[in-house]
Amino acid sequence: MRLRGRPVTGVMPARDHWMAVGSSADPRPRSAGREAAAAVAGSQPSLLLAFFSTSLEPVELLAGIMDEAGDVPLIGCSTAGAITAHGSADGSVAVMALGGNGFSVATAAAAGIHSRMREAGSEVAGCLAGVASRPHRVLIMLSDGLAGEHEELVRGAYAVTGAAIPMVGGLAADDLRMARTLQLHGDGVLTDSVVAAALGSDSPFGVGIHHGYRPFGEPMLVTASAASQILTLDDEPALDVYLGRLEAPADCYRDAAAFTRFAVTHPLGLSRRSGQRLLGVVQVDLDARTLACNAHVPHGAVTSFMESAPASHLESADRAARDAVRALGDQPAIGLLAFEGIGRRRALGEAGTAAEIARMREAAGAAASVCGFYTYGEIARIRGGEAFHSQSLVALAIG
Amino acid sequence: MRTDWWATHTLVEYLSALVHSPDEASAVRNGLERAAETVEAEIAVMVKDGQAVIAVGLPGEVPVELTGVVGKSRSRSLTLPGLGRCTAVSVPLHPRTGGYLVLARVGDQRFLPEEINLVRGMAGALWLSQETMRLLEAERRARETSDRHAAANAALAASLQERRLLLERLTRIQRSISHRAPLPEVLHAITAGAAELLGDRIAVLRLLDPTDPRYTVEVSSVGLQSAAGRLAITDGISGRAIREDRVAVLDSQTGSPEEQAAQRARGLASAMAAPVHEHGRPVGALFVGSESPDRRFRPVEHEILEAFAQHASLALTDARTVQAMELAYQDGLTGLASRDLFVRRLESASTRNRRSSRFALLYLDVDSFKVINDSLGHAAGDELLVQIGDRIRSCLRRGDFAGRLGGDEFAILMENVHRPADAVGLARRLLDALGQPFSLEGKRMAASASVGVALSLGHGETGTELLRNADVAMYRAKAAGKNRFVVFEPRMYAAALARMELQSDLLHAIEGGELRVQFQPIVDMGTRWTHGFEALVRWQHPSRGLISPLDFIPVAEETGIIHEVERWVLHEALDGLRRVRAEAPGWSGLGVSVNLSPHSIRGRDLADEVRAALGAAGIPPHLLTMEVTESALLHDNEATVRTLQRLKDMGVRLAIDDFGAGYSSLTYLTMCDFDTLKVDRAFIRNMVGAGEAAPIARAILAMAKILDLEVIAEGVETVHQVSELREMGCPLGQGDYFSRPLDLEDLAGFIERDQLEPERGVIVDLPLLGTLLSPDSASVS
Repeated sequence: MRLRGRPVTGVMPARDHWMAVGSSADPRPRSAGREAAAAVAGSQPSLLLAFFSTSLEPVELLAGIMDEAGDVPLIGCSTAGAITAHGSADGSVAVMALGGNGFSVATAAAAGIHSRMREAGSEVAGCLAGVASRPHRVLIMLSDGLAGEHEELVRGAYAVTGAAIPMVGGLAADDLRMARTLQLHGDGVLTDSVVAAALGSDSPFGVGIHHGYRPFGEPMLVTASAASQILTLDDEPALDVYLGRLEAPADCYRDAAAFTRFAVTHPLGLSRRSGQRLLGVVQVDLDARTLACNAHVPHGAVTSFMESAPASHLESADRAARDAVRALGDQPAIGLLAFEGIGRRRALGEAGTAAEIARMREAAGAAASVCGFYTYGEIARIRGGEAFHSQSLVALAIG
Repeated sequence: MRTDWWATHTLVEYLSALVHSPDEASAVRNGLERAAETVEAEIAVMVKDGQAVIAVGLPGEVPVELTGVVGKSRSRSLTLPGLGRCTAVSVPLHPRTGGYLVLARVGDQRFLPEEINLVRGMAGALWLSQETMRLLEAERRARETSDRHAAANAALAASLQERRLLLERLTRIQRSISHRAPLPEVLHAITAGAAELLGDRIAVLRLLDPTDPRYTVEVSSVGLQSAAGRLAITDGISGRAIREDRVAVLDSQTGSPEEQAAQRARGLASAMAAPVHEHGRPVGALFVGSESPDRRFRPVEHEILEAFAQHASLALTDARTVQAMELAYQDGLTGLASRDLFVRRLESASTRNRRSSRFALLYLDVDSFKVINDSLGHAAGDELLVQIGDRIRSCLRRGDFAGRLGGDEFAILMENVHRPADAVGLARRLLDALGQPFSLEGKRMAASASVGVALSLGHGETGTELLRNADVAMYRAKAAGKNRFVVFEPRMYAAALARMELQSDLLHAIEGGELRVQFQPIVDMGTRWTHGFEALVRWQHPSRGLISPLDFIPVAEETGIIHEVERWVLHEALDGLRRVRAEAPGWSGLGVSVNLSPHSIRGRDLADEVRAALGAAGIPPHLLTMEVTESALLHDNEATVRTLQRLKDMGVRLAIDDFGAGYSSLTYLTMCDFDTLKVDRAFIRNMVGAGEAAPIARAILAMAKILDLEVIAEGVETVHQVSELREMGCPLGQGDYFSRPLDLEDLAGFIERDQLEPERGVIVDLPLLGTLLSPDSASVS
């Protein structure tokens, strides 16, 4: 759905804290920023989150937001599409605001992360100290989706949060151009960075995550890998095995962009204790016939091809949202923040994403706002220490 | 929780991650993080001498409760500050270090024995990696400090090299276990690896004799001129290693005089053996021996031999797991492989034969099994499947592999197929074998099957592709008349693909507004008054044009979209009727019929859906007729009848459609309280003439009269048919003779032309109706 020129408002005052969402599809960045922020900034928010398309010039966009909202703590990032209660939108900006006495907020940013992922993760997680007085806390991270292995980033953050504090987030995207993603922190536009917000509240938070894929065919062994690159599968060039077994269209063998479009809906699965952990295949080296993934691929790992159906994606969205809301106990949700793998959007199509958002809204309850974006990877820790995911739906329910 | 194979692969990944750590601190941290992630534990702690050395998942101090679980081998419940109830387990890093790896999960989920075994393996690998890193750093420091320590440097370097080689070798072995290399190959790689790394000429792996566990037999060796044969478990240091379940060493200074004499007799001066386990129980020993009397086995060499022995344990456990899995994956009814196992075998075969054309797949489906099952009962159906399984087995060549894919579908995998005739020959044998009568509950029964044959063409077909091709060919065999085989040809796939495309397009047809509903009048043949309409769905495809329901309804049924299609048609049909009734009260007696697919009656709350649709349109239930075919009553008929009865109880009318096309059984007519019987068009078409159609139609009408059913003749196309039907006493007709199916807005024209009268429930204000049903105002297009 394209929301050209349509202000989207969803201010939902609730108890002593609130969440609101505004958006704009105005192609003029300053106007878009103003329009989206105008819908949410009236009630003096404590934190703004902005999710925007790379088609909008970021400095002007940010200036537009600040024209309306003033000097409010802000984090944001470029996306592969924004999610609001009205659907998924290209070329737009969505602004989410949290405010009221029930919230405390601290933000942080770390730059140059590609060579220091773990350190950067720990660094930004340090902002949790700023909200230590609240009984419930959560760390929200938005990171450059093209910067490298994000498991290290979340491990670094986990060293600070520990098992008691949940973390969620998404990897900034650039509408599948795979060229450059952007992050926002305060009045700064960054790249190769991670930005984070520590949110403290008197009410609980809930996190849910699910994906709609299942393995098919005989598993394969990663017989050679280097960091996030798969060199060979079952001792054959990884690209040949991947495209051959998936019966990919011919242009994927010679056109990197065509490959990316195909690969975004064809993740691999790594065998894990309670199922398959998805691994996004993001880029290709057509000469070396190797694949680049969005996470570290261990040598000797067993991988599977994964398949899905629109119904299973919808089901997983429903489960993620309901798990998140259930974790709030008796407390109703004031809003739902969603981080969703871009492959799911492509697999679901326009009608499917609308149905998916409708399901999330239903799960969150009538009073709750919904906001989020389509990512190059998702962050959520539910069980164990593993917190980096692909092609999944992460839902943060805000109580 | 997965089985042991998962643990094997996980260890390979784990070791690989550790090998790439740049220093000791990062190796330990990586080791803890990955151990926790692997078993989905939130917390990992390394404990030495009762103190936490490093922790993951606990940013602050490590609670004493966690260090307190050290030494306890089972899962323990404990409560941790900020996390609440947790479950923890500890395993030693190495028997001699006093260090432990402690893992804890938030919640009550206990660590299973398989998981604890895996954690033990990871702890061992972590310790080995840590030691390697420590040596590496010591060497670096020593080099930096002074050349005076040249001797120490050399020793350290040698030790480091040993460990690096060990890690590399073990990774290779784990990979071959993961690859499911044949067990003897893996065991030989272990034996040879131990000999090479320890520099001893002889290495032997002995396992307990499966026929008599008081003895061991040699399963792999290097450096031996001849096999030592069976040895008593009480003999030699291999026996000691098994009995005492620990490393046993024999050299000039250790070992009993008897052991030394026995080794001398074999030409060896020193030897060492480490126990090999299966599921934790010692079942053999890995042995290395040297002729040199000066050979001393250093502690690090004990560890190396133990590491190799552990991998022999891993390989044995894995192989046994595969065996057990295959047993577990047998089809309980026929004893053939289950679908899972069959597909697994098929994929392995296709990987092995990727570039050869030496394998084939046969897909066999029993013809009309449903009818047999329904008429003789499920027990007889099962018995038939058992006998079919036996006959399939009797047709196989050595090496062929058969499985039951589910229901009445079987498949056979043939490897080493030298020519297509091999596969065709098996197909013929199968048809012949199944063509012989079966004896079921003392009765002789005939059965047959349709078989699809797919041959690997050496183009790298995957197992899934071959299965799909054989399936396509099997459907061809069914369509060609059953009881035959068809060999797959690529053009068949193109046809199947076209069908799949149709499926995909259909998914978007509803939301794309490509479906529309037309209404075919049902007419009183005496008065020509309109009695009602049947709602018929049409698909106007954007590129293919109009697609017949005969083509797309089966596709909708296969994909389950039929529910959506029927729901949409029901709403459109009722909405059409509502529009007519709202503007023209004189039409209030007209009703509408909607078809119900056999597939859609089950698995949904149809009655509630219909009630809601009637309510939304404001249509009284008796004006809606739901039409079902006899075949709907064939499937799961208890549930079907229950659903239909609920509709009936609501006041909805029921019609049996296409009567005479299928089983023409009175049983089906009496199962439900039907109101209407629709005589199949085939009888009407052939009625005029000397054939059997006219007498049968007459009999059907007589039967309907007895059962007090309203009768509608379908497919009426000629005036002769009308007069014949009237003469037989058939009151109602439907067909092109009266009218083709019409768009909603054309109904007015039809009624006007036929001069219908108000007392039959038809309006006379035709201009008003024309306005109402103009294209601008109609929602159905």
